[in-house]
Amino acid sequence: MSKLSYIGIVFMGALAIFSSSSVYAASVALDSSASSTEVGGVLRVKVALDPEQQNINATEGRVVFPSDLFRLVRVETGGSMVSAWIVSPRLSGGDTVEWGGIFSGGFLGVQDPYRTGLLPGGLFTLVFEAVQRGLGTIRTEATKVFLNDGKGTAISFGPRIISVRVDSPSYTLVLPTESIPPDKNPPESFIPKISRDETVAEGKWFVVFQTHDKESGVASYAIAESPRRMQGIGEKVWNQATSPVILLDQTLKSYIYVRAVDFAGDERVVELPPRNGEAEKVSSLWALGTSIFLLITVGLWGLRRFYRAQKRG
Amino acid sequence: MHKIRFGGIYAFILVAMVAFGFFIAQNGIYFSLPASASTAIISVTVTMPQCSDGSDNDGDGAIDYPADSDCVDSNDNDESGVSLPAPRGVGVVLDTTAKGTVVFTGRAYPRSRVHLLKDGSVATTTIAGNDAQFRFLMSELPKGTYLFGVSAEDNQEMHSGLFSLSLVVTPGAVTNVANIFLSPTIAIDRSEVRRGDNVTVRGKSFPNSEVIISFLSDTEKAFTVVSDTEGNYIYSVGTSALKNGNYAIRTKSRFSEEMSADSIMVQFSVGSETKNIVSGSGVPQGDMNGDKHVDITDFSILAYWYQRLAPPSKIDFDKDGKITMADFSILAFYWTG
Repeated sequence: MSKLSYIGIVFMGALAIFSSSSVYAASVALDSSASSTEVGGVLRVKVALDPEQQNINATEGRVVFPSDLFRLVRVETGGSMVSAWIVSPRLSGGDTVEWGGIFSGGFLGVQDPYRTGLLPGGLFTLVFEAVQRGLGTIRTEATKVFLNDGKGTAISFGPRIISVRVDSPSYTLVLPTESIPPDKNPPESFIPKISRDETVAEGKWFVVFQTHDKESGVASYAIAESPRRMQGIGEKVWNQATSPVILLDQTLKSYIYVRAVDFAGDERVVELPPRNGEAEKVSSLWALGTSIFLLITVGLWGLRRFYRAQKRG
Repeated sequence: MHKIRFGGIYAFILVAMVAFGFFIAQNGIYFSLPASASTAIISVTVTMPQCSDGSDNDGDGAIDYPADSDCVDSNDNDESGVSLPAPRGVGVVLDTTAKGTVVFTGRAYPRSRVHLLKDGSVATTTIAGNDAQFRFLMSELPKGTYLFGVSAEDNQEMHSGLFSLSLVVTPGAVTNVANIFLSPTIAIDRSEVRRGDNVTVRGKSFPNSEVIISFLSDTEKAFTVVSDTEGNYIYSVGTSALKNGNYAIRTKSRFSEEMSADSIMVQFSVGSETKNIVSGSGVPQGDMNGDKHVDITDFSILAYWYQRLAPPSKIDFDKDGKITMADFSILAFYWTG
């Protein structure tokens, strides 16, 4: 057998082995920017979902970190594949970050036209500052993904663990400094919606909103209501909010303002005019028209009586 | 002798790589999604700066840098020499401050409303042509990864399944997502059927396509019908062969050997009595406020009840007495934006 044939057989064998690896399982992975850092240094841990050819539409879980070694500085959600958060990644209990979100319509993986295959999609990135030297682990817990099958089928999997080491500061190396990703744009434009439903707050009117920021991520929302249109809204007027928000003015005669702020501090404010303001205008016009009509009718009736009286006279 | 043979192998690999590179250069980069997500084709057209695009843009007979003396470098986007050069770099670089463009094309139903979703919200809507073809162009997109979705809505306000795609948008490039084949819409006339009575399945599909109707229970039974020139299909099936219990139905279309994605599922049960669904009154599962859309409002209603006690049964989709991520997963499946 020639070497060419031998190489061909080996190649085909390898191809067969790889192509027959059909045991797929979605997974949530931790990807650290480094395996070690120094006290005062920054460690970035990206949490990513690899659907592994399964169609996933929701995920939830926790990341537990050694709070004696690290302080959580920030959670970055810019560029996340999650289309709506139920539990926006947040610190819970001092050493745990919880999350829960959906991929509306399903998520099979990220398609990058310059790369082959479907890639994992980022969920969020944890930014830590090392506060004390030592060895520790960062791990996922109670992580689940849900199939896009219309049944809410959950797949659970075991923890993913990464080891991290914090050394004493050497004072000779320039440590990576904590910095917010470059972000020159405010969160994307959005349109809040006013709605009500018998199942929510006894049928009261509420407002729903959501937007995205591809750079640093949306840090917070705030809402303000005012009977008059406002040009500049003072900080005291804003109330931190999470959709849905039950409206204070249930007559819907107030202007509603929703503010989205990204982690770089850029903000976008959108205004909803009073839903019943137009109705008021229409009512006013109707009343004015009716008054004029009555005035003319009474005037004509008076003139008629006047002429009749003159004829008789 | 061996040296000559291995030299031949290397030459063969080299030729194959060059040929592959030439093919990519000529045809762009194409990917096919897994079959379960329909068979959309994605290609990329990179918008090159004028001084490296291989064309004589200013008509002076000189092409690109350095042949055209008006070009400062290969990144200069004006061969006429009037504008300032783009930022210098090594070789040809894309302008990372530029915005990206994505073009979506595919098949729906004649004159149907087709929605383009960006990160879960409807970004724009168009009307498909008489030939059921549609096209969207979304430009000025900042660099990033987007979750796009495309769905169609028929004249009964019924929705197709949502074609979903997570895509990296490249600055200065046009990404084409072609050949999207949206699933049929689906409606049934009965929510419960007395065993032996018929249940009728109807909806819209791509015209003259083969519509495969699947009954799902412990086993799957499939029936086939052809849609008319307007895309309408209707099929009535007897239930005498079915056992009492719950069933789900979904459909998909086949046209010229191409298969659409699966439709949303509708459910009915076989039992002791027949209950008709009033025409036009059906709302998709997940539509809690009855506006025939499953969107951020419905999401917020569910979020309101997340981890609260005693949620209303109509929003507890999996009937486990609480709102969990499983209920959100069911909502996401029926998402229309």
